[in-house]
Amino acid sequence: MTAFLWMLGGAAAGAVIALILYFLGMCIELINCACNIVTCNCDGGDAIPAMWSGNSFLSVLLFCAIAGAIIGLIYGIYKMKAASNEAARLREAEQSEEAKKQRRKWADEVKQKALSIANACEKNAKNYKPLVSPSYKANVQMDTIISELANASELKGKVDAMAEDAKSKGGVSK
Amino acid sequence: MLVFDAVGFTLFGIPGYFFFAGIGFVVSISVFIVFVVDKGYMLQRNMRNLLISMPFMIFCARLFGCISGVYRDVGMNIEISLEGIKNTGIVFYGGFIGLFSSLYFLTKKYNQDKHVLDIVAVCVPLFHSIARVGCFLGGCCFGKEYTGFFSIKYTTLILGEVSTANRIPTQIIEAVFNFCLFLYLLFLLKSNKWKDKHISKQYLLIYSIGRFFIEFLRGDIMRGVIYGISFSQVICVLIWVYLLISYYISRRYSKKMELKEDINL
Repeated sequence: MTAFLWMLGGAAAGAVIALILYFLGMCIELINCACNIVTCNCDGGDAIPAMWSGNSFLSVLLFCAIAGAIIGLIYGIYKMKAASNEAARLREAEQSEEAKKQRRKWADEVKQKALSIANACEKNAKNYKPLVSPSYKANVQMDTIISELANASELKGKVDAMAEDAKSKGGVSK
Repeated sequence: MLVFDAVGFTLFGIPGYFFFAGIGFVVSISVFIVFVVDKGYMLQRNMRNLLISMPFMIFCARLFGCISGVYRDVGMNIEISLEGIKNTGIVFYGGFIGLFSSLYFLTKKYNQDKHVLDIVAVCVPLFHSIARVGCFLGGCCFGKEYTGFFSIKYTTLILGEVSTANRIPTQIIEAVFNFCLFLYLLFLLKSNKWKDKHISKQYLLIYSIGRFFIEFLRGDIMRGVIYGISFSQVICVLIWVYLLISYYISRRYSKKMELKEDINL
């Protein structure tokens, strides 16, 4: 419909251009006629002879109207095409904007999850008690060893005293 | 041998030149519309620019016609008169310069991409090739007298008198040349890096070289000749000078930019 309207518009513009051409031609003829009168050139002919012969006006009018209609039709078709291209481009841009928003939302979610995992890990790391100490505590262990040795020598002393006591009371050791 | 009488020739009651110029106009404008949309430019703005440029194009074509009248009178060693200036036609180069300069001004004014002019440069030889057929039918821009293989028996008006002679069909030669040039520029325009191809400048260079040589084959004295050099050949030389200067300036500019980049690095 738009193309058809543009075609009609083009035809009308073509017809107007033909009229303007003939108006300009008439002005040139008038100037030419005035020049002929001023210079007393009675044999002077038309400035644009082909313009006024036969049906030339109707032919030019029709030709210009057809030419205008063709240009108008092509203009209308391509104007519609340009409009549809623009609409498609806008739609695409809109869609890409929506997709961008969705991607941003997902990225936020992933980021949030990663943050909560990191927090949990940090918390666990703080409360962690190792079953075996990786550090070597020499002094504490040496103290334990010395106290164990002291206990052992104390026990040996006790056992020796009990043996001496049994021997002095006539007991025979077998 | 082809015989053609251009005197009073009309098609559907319309003079041959007007008829073919009209067809050329319709076809080239259509191609312009197609490529403006295809390249993603604003159709309405560019069509408006083109239509605004049209009166200026016609004015410059006629102005150059008047200048060619002065050139002819100087060449023929006759007194320059208003009658002599009036007795001239339109000059293609004038129209081209008028169209391009006004379009360049409008694209700058409305902040449009100047590469739209490259699309116009593709359409111009298409219009010109069709309009030259109109020249052949209208009886202007004819060639020198010649009786060889490609000659045609051509009847036309020379200084108001009917003349029939075997001539070189320069109009057809130029039409074919322009059409080939259009196909070449179309090929450049269809490429992906069309903006880097300098289509307008390529058109100016190739057309002016071709036109310079075709002018030697022309036999119409109306266009003016001084020492064997026609008015159009003078414009061809001026175009070469312009292209050389613009080439030199663009080279200097690009060298300056390279130097700046080196300093920044």
